[in-house]
Amino acid sequence: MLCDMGRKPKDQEERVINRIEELRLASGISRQELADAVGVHYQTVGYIERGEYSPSLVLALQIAKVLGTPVENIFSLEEEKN
Amino acid sequence: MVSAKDTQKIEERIARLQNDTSFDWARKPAVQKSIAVATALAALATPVGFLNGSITGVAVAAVMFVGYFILRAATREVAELPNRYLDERELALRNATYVKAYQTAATLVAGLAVFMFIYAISIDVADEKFAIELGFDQIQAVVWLFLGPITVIPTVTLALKGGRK
Repeated sequence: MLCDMGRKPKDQEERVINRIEELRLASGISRQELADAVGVHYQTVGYIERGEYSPSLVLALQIAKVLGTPVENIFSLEEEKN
Repeated sequence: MVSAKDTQKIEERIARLQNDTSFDWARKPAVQKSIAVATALAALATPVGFLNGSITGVAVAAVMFVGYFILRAATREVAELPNRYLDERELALRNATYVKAYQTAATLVAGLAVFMFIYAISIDVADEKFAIELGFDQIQAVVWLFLGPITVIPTVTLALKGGRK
């Protein structure tokens, strides 16, 4: 069927959830420090932590490197958790 | 050409702007949207103001520019800074903003063109020349009819997406 092909509408895309805030706090890193380490604005880290923005693969890998854990330990699709 | 010293000054200004908290009051979503609506209305009212005299026009334009500069600070100039100063989320936000801003500007211009066309038909201008007398205030009204909206539309569009500290 046509509706099964191609990109899903934005409202039907799986939501990416993450553990950045949890891991960041456990590492004692502030939002600003993490932002500086990966080269983004501190607001962007906040948007990612709240799941309001999904980072690019490069940024996700940079965040994982700073937090010292594999990227799959940080990001997952919401349906996987459910 | 911009000297290294000037480049450093620009970068320091942008760094301050990106970390500025003095406009947090204007970043509250309700406040930001209210200022955006007031700025958009002032931009549309400025040509009408000039038709009623220079003083009225300048007063309305001043309201527009005050709103515009508050919104620029509140949105950290994401709509206007060069790409190299923005991160990937800000670039994505700006891209989405400019699509919406283009649609808004195109709608305004198309609406104006259709209005002029219908007006020309309604006064039955087909067989005779239609003269418009333009004084300085009228010329300013025409200038601000375009200059106001094209100045504020990107920043107002971004601001209408809502703010957050």
